[in-house]
Amino acid sequence: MDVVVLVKLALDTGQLRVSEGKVDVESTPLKVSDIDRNAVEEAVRVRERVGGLVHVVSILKYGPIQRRLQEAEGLLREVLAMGADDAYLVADEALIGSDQSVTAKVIASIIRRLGKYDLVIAGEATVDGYTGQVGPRVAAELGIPVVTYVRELRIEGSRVVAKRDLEDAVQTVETPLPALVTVTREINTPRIPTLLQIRAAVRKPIGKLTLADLGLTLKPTIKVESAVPMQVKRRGVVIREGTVDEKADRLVQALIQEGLLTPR
Amino acid sequence: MINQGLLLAYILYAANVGLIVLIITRLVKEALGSGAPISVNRFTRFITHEVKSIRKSVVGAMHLAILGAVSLSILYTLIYPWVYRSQLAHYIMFGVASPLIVGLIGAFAWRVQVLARSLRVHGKLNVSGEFRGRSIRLQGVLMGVIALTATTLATSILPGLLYLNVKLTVAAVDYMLVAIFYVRPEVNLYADFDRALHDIRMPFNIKDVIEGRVDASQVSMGVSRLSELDRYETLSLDACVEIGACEESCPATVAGRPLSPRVLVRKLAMLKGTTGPGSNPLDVVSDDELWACTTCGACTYNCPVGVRHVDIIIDLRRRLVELGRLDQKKSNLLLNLSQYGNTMGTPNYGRHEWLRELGVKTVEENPNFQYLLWVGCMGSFDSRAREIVKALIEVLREAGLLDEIAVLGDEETCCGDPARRLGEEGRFQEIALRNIELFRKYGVRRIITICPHGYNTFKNDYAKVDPWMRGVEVYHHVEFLRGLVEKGVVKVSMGNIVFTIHDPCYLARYNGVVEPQRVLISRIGKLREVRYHGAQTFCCGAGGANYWYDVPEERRISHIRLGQLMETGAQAIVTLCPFCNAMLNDAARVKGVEGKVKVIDIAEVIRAHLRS
Amino acid sequence: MAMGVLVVGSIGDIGLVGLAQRFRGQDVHYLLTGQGDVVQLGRYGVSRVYQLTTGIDEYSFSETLTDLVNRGSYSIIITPVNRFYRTAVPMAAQRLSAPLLTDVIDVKPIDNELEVVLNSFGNRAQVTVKVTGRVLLMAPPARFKPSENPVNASIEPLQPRVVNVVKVVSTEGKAKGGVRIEDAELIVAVGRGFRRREDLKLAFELAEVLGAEVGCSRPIAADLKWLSEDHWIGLSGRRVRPRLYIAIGISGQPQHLAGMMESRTVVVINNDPNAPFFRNCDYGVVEDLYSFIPVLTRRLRDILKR
Repeated sequence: MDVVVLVKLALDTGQLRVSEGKVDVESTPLKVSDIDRNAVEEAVRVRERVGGLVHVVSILKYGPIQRRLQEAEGLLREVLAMGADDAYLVADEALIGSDQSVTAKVIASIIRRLGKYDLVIAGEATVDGYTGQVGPRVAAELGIPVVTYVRELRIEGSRVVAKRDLEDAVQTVETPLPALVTVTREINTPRIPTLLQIRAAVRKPIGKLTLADLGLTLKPTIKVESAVPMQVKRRGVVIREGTVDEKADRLVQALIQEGLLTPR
Repeated sequence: MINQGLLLAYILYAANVGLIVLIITRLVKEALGSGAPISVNRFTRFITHEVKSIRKSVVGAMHLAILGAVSLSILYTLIYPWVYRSQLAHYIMFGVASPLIVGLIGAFAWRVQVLARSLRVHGKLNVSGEFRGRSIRLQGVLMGVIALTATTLATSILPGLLYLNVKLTVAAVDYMLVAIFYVRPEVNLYADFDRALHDIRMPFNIKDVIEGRVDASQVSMGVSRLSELDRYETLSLDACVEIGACEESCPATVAGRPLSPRVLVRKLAMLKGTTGPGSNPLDVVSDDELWACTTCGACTYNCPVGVRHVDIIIDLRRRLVELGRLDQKKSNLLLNLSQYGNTMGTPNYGRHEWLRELGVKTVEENPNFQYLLWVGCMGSFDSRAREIVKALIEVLREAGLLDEIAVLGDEETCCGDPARRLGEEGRFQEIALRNIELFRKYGVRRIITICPHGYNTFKNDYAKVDPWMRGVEVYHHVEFLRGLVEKGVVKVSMGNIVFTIHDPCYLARYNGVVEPQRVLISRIGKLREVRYHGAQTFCCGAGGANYWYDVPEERRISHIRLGQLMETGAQAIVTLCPFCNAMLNDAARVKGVEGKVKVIDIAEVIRAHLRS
Repeated sequence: MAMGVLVVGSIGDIGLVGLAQRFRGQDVHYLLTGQGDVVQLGRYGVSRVYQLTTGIDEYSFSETLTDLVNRGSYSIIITPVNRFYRTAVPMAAQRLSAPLLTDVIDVKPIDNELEVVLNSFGNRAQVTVKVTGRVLLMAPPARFKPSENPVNASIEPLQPRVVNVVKVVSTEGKAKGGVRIEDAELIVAVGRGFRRREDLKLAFELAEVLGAEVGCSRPIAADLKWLSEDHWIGLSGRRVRPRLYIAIGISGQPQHLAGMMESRTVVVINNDPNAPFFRNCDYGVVEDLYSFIPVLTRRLRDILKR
């Protein structure tokens, strides 16, 4: 069974760089989106159980491309060291800052070019955008069923049986293959490849592609104007004086003013 | 007509001599096989080490007593034909032997106590019935050897042929057992007595991989079969005769974690004996058994026959890391190391910004620095540990030495110790190489650090990755402070506070740094030593990457240690490691004794007692 | 710009009309799922309501929504946030070849363009995006307040397009407390200031009134084992980033702070005025938690009407 796993080289928002009051995207490091590690782990486990290949597909979304390419390859090496067989990386100026409809079209185009695939696995969302769109969009683009928020996955013949983690319920569903599933953090604990394993993964191929290679021309629909970091600066207002009731009142007033409480 | 008794005596004598020859042959054969150089020089150092072990611990003294007693017994046996007729000779022999007999009685009593504890430990760890049987048998045999040796020495007081024959019979049995059971432990000690605690197996040098001499996929990091252990580790498995000193001093065992170093080593020795060196050690050792170890080194340090428990544990952890058998917390540690370059999972840039306000310059701003101040992950990010660094800075400023030091700023990352002790040797070596490159770039000749883990790794581990590091002097801040105080650069005043010292494992046991902290405290206040101190210190529970993960346990190691320290009645516990400080402070808070005792670093003690 | 704003959601998601009203001069239509008072929608200026009363799965919903958007030529589609919409709406967006912007804070139509402000980069930045053409917006309804603008709402039942590709085998309710604290928006965290395990109920009551999750510092989970490890916030516990973090009886050790420092607003309640946490809070209250928490809970219950 051949599994395609979607891996985002996400902006490491834990290390967001700031210059002149704006987020400096270009100098913020990338990382493998955390939940996509779970997706890779699950793909590798599926392959360990039923055999086949694990292909990684990744779209470079942050520039500058020339500098990011090496960084991206390093990260994909880590993913390959987890047990994937090969990787495809699309890097093209037209994709920097593009919206997810474009991303999904590019991914779908690569998956179609692979020819044979049975299962596509993605993380439920990425740690930077956290929009969770790409999985369902790719499924729509490929015209295959999608099962989101999966915390348990089983392949039964030509069907996939999955437990979905919803807000107030756990739903067990099944759908025929090929299908796309998005997984949650709970599905597994991703293995951390050792440095030696990462180095050994140099032998696995990373196919670098541009939109021209895929025969695609796509037009951006959105444009990012600015990104302003949220300041985490503590106010440090300590209420020391007064009766218990007065203190409670002052705290509640403060929380209402912060917009954290809405009196009904 | 030949006296029948005398004939028997000669036959027994011949048998004894034969057995003695056997013992010596085996000693020589095993020693040759151990790879240790056989020379007069080494032998002398070995004997000196043995004699010095009396000072180390009671077990050391008892071990020496047994070694001495067996040797003396052999000597007596050999000289019997010439002296057995002399009444006086018997009295002299007994007189000489009597201290050793006392030692043997002590050793026997120790073994009884070990047996009792091992029964408890077996119950707790739920080891197999077969293991229990074999363990008790081995302990019984060794108690037998002690008793028999004591008998051979004690009977030396009795003259007469009959007693002589009794003595020679007992000795024959004794020597047989010695030949079987005592040769390997002693040879192991001979081979290993001078191997430092930090000198663990280095399965590869990453430089060979980077420079293309070795293919990464051909290198194995951990041990998947017993045969992949180094010779010194295998010898040490064969050497264990369940003396129990490791188990007695192991903080993991004391805390009720699923580990006893004795059981671990014996399980592997038995595995090797039954299914051979091709066996997979993880078949008999559980993951948590390996994670339970804080790598404090008390087991190896106290083992009278030089068994290398920690080395074996780390080799097996390396295998777990290779197999990806890490829970979320351990995974996060490694992820943070690769993503952030530090163990705290905090952005690395700006880690020394706060030091700028104190007037500390970076290596770029102060290229003529004499000492690189390695602040470390705790010192850089942890607000409590920052206080320690701040205290040190203030003392240095007082001494007018602030311009002598510099920090790496954003270029400082992890020292690599947590990666190495967790078992990710590759990542450790990569970090080490990167740091060494930095040190070279800035011409670092001397390093000061507040953390014994960085201290140990820079001083001992780095040199094995790149010998260039041998030219770099590494100081723990206590050594540096001692120098300042003794030279009178910094003057301190005497107060009336009662202190006790919590020695960090990686400072005191691994590197023998015990004196400086005592010299300093003796000039500032009263020192009340805790029972386990100096090189015999008891771990705080954070070592071996334990700071970042948890293991099932009955009691927290930090709580046990705090209890020991508080028994001294001291008003302040002096720490020398930011991790120890965090663990003990946390224990004091949880136990609600913050008001009774302060946990402070030596730098803070000095700052509080500066005399201008 | 083309015409029409379509708001999607149940009657409880009416707050989204507040966002729709920022497109001045545009008709606001509502795809109402389930039952609801249509008159109430009219009061806020919704002129047409499509009512979908049958429960359908995400795949069918995405098809139905796509059809409706194409039929009505809506250029702005606004939906609430939950796992159902997070699955269905992107599929519709892809069929419509339109961008979907999530966690929207504000919109500003400028000429032919639309400026959208949203939370992104892991909630660490506010991003302003310019869009031309059709766009789907996703936002928590509680973020907006519609103003009154009564009209007569017409109502039209909506026939769903049902596509059966994913079969639901079974559904089981979730045990309470199974929520991931990493994702919680509001957290009440407890520490060693609580003297007995039973006393934690004070914190649980407060959390219930707020709709918050309960977290804890290390001693509570690791030493005392009063709460499971899922609640443990800190360096070796979970890392959280809620909008509001209320720490009760936690002294504020660095190991704990490491797990919560990205919280937006931090409230600290502790009877020790020297607790280090007070140096890292937005609002602090120096008071005994045993007397303070019940009062606070009561006060909040009054104003939140829960």
